[in-house]
Amino acid sequence: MSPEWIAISMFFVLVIFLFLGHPLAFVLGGVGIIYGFWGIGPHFVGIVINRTYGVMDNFVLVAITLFILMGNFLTVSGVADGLFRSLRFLLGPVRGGLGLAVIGVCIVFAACTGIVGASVVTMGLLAGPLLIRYGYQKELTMGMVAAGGSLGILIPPSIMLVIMGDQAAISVGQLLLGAVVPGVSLGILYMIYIGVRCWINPTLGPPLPPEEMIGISKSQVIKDALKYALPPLGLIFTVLGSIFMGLATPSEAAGVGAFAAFILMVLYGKFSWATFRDCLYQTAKSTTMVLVIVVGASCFTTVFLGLGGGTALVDGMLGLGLGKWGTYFLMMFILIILGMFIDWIGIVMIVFPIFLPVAKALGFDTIWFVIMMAVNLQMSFLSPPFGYALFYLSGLKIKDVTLAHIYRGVLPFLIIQFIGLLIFTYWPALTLWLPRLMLK
Amino acid sequence: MEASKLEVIIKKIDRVSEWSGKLFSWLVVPLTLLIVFEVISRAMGVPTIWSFELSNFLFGAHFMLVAAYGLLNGSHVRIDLLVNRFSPRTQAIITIINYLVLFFPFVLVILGFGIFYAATSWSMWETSWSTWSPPLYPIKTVIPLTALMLLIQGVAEFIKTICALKNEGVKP
Repeated sequence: MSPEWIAISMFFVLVIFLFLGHPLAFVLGGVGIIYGFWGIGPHFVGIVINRTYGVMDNFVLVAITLFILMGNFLTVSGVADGLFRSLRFLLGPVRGGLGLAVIGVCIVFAACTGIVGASVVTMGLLAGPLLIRYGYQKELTMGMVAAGGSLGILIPPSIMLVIMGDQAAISVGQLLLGAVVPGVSLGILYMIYIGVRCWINPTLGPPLPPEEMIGISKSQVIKDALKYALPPLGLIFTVLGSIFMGLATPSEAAGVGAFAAFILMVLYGKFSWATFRDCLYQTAKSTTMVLVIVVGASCFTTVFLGLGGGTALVDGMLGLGLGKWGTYFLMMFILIILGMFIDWIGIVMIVFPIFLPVAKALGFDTIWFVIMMAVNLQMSFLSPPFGYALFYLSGLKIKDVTLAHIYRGVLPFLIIQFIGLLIFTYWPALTLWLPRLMLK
Repeated sequence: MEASKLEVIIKKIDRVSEWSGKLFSWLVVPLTLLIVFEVISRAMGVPTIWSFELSNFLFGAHFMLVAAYGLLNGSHVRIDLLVNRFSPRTQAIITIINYLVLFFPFVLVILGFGIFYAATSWSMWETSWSTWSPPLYPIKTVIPLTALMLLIQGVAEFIKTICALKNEGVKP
């Protein structure tokens, strides 16, 4: 069999087994082992073990563990609850104001965590029942929680960007900075959408009734908002700032950030040994989930590239004759389709060895291209049938909310994400000005 | 009689994975403190020669040694939207096939070659090339150890599925 056919059959087998529900890490590893013995011979395992050790002995990836730990500390600190409680009174009297509050909290929350689960679940529990009680449309409520909660993986710190930077062998610091503008802009686009739709049709998101506001002191509410927004934002600006100034590597910044997050947790009065232990256990589970996939995927890609599958697909893609932008949109389209079925980490590990050489051959800036992939993968959290945010939300079993509400609700936000992708594609400077400013 | 004996063994394996996972979860604490310590000592102009490598050791050992704990708790991502539509019986059969075709070959190969890899390192008392030159055999032993723990927990999960298949209707 020619390498092209082996490569294609390897992909095919991978996809079949992926859908059979086995953990992704072991599907990647297992398919790699089968094809390795068949196509290369036992000596490839030596390379696989070496690459496994390479994942362990990798200071860039240390940032993953520490960002996850930091996020867990900040999540139990109750920042989201506190901030939402005060923003709700500040913005409540406006049409759609509670929705704006939700996205506002989501942006701050996203700057605290690098993963998606915690923010969707917390905001779903916090805001979902409340907004619906105040007469917000169920679809709109579910859509904003899913979309806002998914910002966690785009707005730095982001686990996805660390993995992407490591896989593409580019500066994680520059990637983190490059994602700031696209991430926050998406949040702002969500806010504009919610604001405009509720302004036109207040039944979708009515203002808080005036009697709710009786006895609420505005200055107290503002003070509360600052109390919950400033410390975590200060923490994140310090973490990103130290990377920006070249004072610390992302991993070091993450370590200091995790330590500072622990102190914040104590200061907010949320420390107890039980909570602390839970944070550690949760961190272990999330970390091993991500990194064991990296190990399994390195087995898969070692074999896949060793068999010449990578070059075959890269050549095939370049040989389609679609031109620079035709190929770009083809790659983005493939990502959207994959995002409907596979989670982000699987996609990154599988397509990076193919897409990056193609992008380089076409003359795209690697930092920009990787961030476009990250923006694109925002859609994978919302796109049915397999989208994490959808699963988390339906798992919450909010009263009177059905899966149909969630599916219908995320649709407009998917469209906004796509528009965002077009905007950042058309104006690369939006993404690149911040990383270019970074001191080297 | 035999089934209950099996159950006892599975419970024991589960307990070992649970406890080892919780124990190794704590490795993240020295990792964090070490990095804070290094940042401070560098700011004071006295960087250490050992903290960089030591933090990699802690990081590598942490995520590897809790992998079996993750398997026990089902925290490894899987795409179950298709298989969830099948009957419990079909699901159990698919799980068994997945373990036999993918999981066990992968883990066994890593275990076998990992033992060889670690043994080579032990046999020459391998140290790293850095100024600090710490021994590398302990961290390299983590690879076969992780594979072994995954294998044992995998066997437990495998038997659970078979038992579920026997007393049909029970979801694994």
